[in-house]
Amino acid sequence: MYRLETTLKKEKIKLFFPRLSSDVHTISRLEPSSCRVACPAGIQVKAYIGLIVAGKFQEALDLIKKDNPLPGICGRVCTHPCESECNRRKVDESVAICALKRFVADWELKKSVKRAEPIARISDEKIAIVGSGPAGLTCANDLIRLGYGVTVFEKLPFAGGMLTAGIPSYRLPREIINKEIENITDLGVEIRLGVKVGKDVGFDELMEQGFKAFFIAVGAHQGLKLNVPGENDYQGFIDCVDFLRNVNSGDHKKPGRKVIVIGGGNSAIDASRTALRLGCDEVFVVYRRSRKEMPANVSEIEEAEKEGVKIHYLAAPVKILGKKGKVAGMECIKMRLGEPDESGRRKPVPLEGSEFVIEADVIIPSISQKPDLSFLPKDHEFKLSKWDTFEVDPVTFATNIQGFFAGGDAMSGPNTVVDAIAHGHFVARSINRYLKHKDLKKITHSSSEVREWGFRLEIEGEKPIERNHFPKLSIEKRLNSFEEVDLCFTEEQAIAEAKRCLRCGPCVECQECVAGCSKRLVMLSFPHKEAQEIGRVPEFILRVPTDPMKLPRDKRSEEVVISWRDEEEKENQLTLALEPITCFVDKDMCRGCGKCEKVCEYKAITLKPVKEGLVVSEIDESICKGCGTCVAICTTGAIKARHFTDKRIEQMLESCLNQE
Amino acid sequence: MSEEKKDFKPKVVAFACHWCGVGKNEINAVEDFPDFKLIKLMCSGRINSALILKAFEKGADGIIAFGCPEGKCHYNFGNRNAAEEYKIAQSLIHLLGIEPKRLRLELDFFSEDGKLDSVIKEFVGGIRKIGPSPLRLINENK
Ligand SMILES: Cc1cc2nc3c(=O)[nH]c(=O)nc-3n(C[C@H](O)[C@H](O)[C@H](O)COP(=O)(O)OP(=O)(O)OC[C@H]3O[C@@H](n4cnc5c(N)ncnc54)[C@H](O)[C@@H]3O)c2cc1C
Ligand code: FES
Repeated sequence: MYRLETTLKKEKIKLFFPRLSSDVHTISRLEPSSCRVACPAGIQVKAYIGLIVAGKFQEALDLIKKDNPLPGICGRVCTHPCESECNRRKVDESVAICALKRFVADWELKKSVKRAEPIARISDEKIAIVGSGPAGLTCANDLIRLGYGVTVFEKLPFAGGMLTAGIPSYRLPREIINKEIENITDLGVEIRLGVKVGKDVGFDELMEQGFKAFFIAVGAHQGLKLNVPGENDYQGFIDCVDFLRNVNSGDHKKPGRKVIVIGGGNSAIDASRTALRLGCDEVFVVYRRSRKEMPANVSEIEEAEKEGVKIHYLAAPVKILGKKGKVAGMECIKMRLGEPDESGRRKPVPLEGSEFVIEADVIIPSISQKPDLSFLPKDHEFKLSKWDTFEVDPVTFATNIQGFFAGGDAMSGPNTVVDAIAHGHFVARSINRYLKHKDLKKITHSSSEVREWGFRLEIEGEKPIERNHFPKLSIEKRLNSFEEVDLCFTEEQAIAEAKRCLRCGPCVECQECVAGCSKRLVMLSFPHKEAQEIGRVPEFILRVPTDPMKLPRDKRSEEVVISWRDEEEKENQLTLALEPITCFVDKDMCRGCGKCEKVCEYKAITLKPVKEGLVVSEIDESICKGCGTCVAICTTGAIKARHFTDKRIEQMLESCLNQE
Repeated sequence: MSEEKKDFKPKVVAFACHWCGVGKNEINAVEDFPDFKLIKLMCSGRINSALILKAFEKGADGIIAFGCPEGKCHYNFGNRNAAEEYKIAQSLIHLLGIEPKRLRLELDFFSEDGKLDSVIKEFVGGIRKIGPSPLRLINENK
């Protein structure tokens, strides 16, 4: 073959190596499903649902944890934008994605899992995170895994931010929060409780202590004023966040007999249901738009009404009434919905003369919150929005001050847990680049990349399957305790529910095929370098070897016809049989050291016992791709490459070097 | 340049993997550098110290090996092996009295214009300066 090659060279014909052995097919290019696109944290929903169908709960959970370190928490309180985009809605109802996430998280809790080992520190740099809410925790989790030192500062005596201080335990039991925070501290993250940054320890001091980057994730805990007369005058007027924080800190004293909560978000519903559980006789919610516009989760509203909360829709406070320094009631006015405002929701307009009074001794306003900025020095230079939130670069989350990043509610205003988690990831990525002195500006939003791809699905012929509903605690049991209301799916329910997934797209992204193929025949390629850097892969290609390799050796060769004109303009033709280059073992020379087995990434080499205690290596030539690394590593010279023997290389060397 | 021995034509062997910047493009360097002999291998992982010593024994003045950049090996891992073998070979040739400059490993796709040319020029220039390999001289004097 060598001589042939030289002849060809003389004729100026290029002959490439037979490529048979190395080529691969692309079997599937993945498109993200709509649920994943909808998730701010980009969780691989379709993939974990697929794993649940297969009963692989651990694998499903591991996959969720790649994008969300708080699965048990999100599985309970997430606003699940994924379900709103679920393609099954076009057939019947969306898949219960959120509850399935909770199912796998709880499934792990029930087992005794080995606690994680601390991550080895590979970088001297330390990062300070201010606030232990979901944004801060997610960022800490990402950064500790990159080998940095991470300290989280929390002004409250407990960690978790609004998860612990705001969301009541009947919705989110404290054990779940503690367990998921423990999973993060086990990795080496230090959480310093009861330390208010800016007061107990200054930013300058932290910089002196060697903290190189800061993540401001202080949340939005300061209730907004109603701006109605009387709101500062009477006892019994308590802001929603303060109220829930007190209850969540263990103060279970009944606040009063009759309670009015003002607002329509999750926090308003939480405050009303909490007040009922504390033994208040009557609880009203006053909301100025209709039920359709109410931002709280629908199921929350339904449950609140079942428990006995009375909701006044289309009503707004006018005046707080008082007697002897105490709240006595509230004057309200009826509203109607007018033109849509800038948020797209229809603006409520008061109806003249429709005033009415609700009697109450406690009023809990829960209209909105803004960040409490009392921790910043008076002369700070942070750029803030008109709502007192931190202004940041929309891609890098960097504030105007170098080394300071902001995210979560402190940046967006009151928002959701998944958004805070997504921000935590983005900030971790930015801080990593910042500390590595890389250009921050160069990051592209991996989630927005995902968002750009559309996905069309054929739903014709899909049969409706009723959605599974998880059981709930009975109303009687609820009212005098903070026991969890929503209960978990059973294993059978979870699998049945997961089977409702339409599996938008051919592949479930789970990558189990790669891990599962012992022969390493399936490979993934990661085209997005940036995505790889931050450990997120928005797109990949699956590969398997071409079929010729499956054929028996003698049928494997490929015929190639080469034609050329010589100097006399005569047609010349040459037929060549190209064979793949593969390696084989000369069994008599192999002494079974096993070096080659270790070096073969394709697992083509195995050690086979021949006689008692004697092993020799064997190469599966249908898998071998002929790279020759095993040939190079073989100390006895037992492994040889077909068409590419040592002898042939020697000949090539000689002919090169002796040419004059 | 003045140090270069005018009448000395170095014999340089280049090993190149099939997929790297050199192997893939069938470099024109072959025409530009008449002293440059190219031996293509499937992967730089095939290179071991025995192969390198063999080439020196057969009279090469310099050996340059090309492979894909780190982490980009077509077979995933071959060039890691090449890098290890390269280190071993360096210490072996040192024992034999061959200058370390005569052996070089380049893991690159050479997608930048002119980079390959300058690497080869620099390498071949370096060999010109130090003259023929001591092994070759011993063999020729026999
Ligand atoms: C009652 C209620 C119910 C909610 N229900 C839901 C729900 O069902 N689903 C959902 O998705 N979202 C819900 N949310 C919203 C969600 O909790 C928040 O969006 C989320 O917690 C924001 O996370 P974060 O990390 O930005 O801030 P937070 O969770 O607010 O955490 C900020 C932390 O920073 C600490 N801190 C502040 N200043 C300092 C300082 N100077 N030094 C040290 N520490 C400091 C605070 O004490 C706090 O612990 C609810 C919110 C409330 C109030
Ligand atoms: S294929 Fe180029 S170094 Fe392995």
